Amino acid sequence: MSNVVQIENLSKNYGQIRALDDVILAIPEGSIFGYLGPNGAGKTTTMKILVGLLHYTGSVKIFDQEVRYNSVEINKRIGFLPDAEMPKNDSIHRFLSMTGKMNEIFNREKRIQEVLAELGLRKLRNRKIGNLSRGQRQRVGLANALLTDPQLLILDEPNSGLDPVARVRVLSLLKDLAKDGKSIIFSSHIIGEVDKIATDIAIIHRGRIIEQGTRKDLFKRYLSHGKYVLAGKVDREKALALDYVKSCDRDSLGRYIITTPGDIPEEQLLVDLIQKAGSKIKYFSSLEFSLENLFLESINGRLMEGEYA
Amino acid sequence: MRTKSFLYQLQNELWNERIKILILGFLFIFQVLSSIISIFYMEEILKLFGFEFINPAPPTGEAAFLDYFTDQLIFGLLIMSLGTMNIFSGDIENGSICYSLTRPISRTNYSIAKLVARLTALILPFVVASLIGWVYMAMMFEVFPIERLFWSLVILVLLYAYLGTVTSALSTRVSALTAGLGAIALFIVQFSLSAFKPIELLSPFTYAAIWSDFLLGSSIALDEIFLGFALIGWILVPFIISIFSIKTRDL
Ligand SMILES: Nc1ncnc2c1ncn2[C@@H]1O[C@H](COP(=O)(O)OP(=O)(O)OP(=O)(O)O)[C@@H](O)[C@H]1O
Ligand SMILES: [Mg+2]
Repeated sequence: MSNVVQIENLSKNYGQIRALDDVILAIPEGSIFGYLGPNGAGKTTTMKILVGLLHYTGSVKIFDQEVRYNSVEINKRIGFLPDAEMPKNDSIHRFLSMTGKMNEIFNREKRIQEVLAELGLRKLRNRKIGNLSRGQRQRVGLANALLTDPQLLILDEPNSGLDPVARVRVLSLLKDLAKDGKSIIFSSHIIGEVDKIATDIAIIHRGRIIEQGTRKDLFKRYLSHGKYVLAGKVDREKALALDYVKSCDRDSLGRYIITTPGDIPEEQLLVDLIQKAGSKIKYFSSLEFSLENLFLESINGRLMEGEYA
Repeated sequence: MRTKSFLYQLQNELWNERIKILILGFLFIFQVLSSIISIFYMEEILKLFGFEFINPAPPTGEAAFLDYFTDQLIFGLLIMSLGTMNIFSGDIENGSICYSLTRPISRTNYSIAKLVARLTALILPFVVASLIGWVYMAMMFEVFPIERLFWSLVILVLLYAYLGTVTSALSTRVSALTAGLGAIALFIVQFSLSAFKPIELLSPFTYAAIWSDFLLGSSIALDEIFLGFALIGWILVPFIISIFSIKTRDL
């Protein structure tokens, strides 16, 4: 399978701030790519670069064309939902109509009706965007992105501001689109949602990609060594000296996450060994794979002083 | 395709300016009429309220023309800088430019459409109002040779365009307030520069003055007249800078 998006050595500075640092990303065609990362990690920056709104160094290819030189052409095949305000004075219909005209889409009025219906906006058609609620505006943004039936959707926090029903509908809409062969890139802070629909995932932190792969890959990698969570009074130094303990870090809840090289013979043995090494364990269990755990853990190891934890 | 999307953008921008066009239209007509009234009818109006008004020099076409010219210039300075100070910064700050520029339109075409629409919205009402006012004046007083009117209107339009494009160029990089105040400050400086001999060439107002001298029938050397054409260059430079600035900046 080829890649719709191929990013190599992508860096971006805003003055002194390094927003993206040598990012390498490949997004396979037909995938639903979930882009995760804490606030200020660089998600929006990456997406804006993809649609040609920001200048960058490195190489960013979409449909095998370098964005730097072909962004107008490429954008005809992209639907983009930015994390930004819409022109307040336009009516919904006028706004969508403009996108439709510029993209010369066939049967414009009919298509507008379709997306409006899809996003539950039919009755609001002639309302001014400035007077809409936040969730309604978000839907207009989504309608705008979907209008041209694009091959690639780039959605910056598509579900922010939406009510629970709308969230579910948008997720299933995205799933359906992927079934039709469209590729989707979306960012979100709700890991459960990413977990539900993403086939590919990347986690970005302080401008660097720290995890990337298909859901399956990440799952396998995560479980390649045993992971356990324990609480109590732990002597970290001594625990780390044990053969069975590869790493021992505190997570943001104050628990300790221990990794072991491969599976251990018996969990009780590990508990005993650690207790003997001067720790008092109150709680012990193996850590299950969840995207949330993966996210928290990969971010946690990298938090700096003054950040959370 | 390219020209088509440009035309759609232009159409959209003009639509967005529709209220501005209406308001300015009325404002300019009011202003033109008020200057006519003050020139030609003030005496009668004052008499009406019982004031004895002794006009030292009865109004002539020339005086009216000059009066009108300077009035319009100060008024236009405000209108143009206030009217264009948010042309780009507004869309950039609230992010709505992200929607416009991810439609299939180049940044160059987008900027040109915006500039043309906004300048038209600000200048067209002025042109229409002036024509109405002048035709009225010409009919009432038969004081203006029509081609003189026409050319002075052209000069004012060029000056307005200059004021608008400079403010627009600033608006591509700084906030609306900074652009507006910065432009007004710049114009005041340039206006003062035009009074001093060698540096007067740094002011577009100098070139405008050359033309108005010419129109008023002062004797002017031929090379000076050609210098007047530089006014067009003064517009093109900030126009091109605006486009280039949008092209090269992050959004
Ligand atoms: N226009 C800008 N000027 C200067 N710094 C910026 C600008 N835009 C973003 N940044 C900085 O770049 C970094 C990445 O920002 P970005 O918006 O890409 O984060 P994000 O991952 O989208 O975060 P969030 O989850 O909060 O939306 C942040 O440190 C941010 O402060
Ligand atoms: Mg963001």
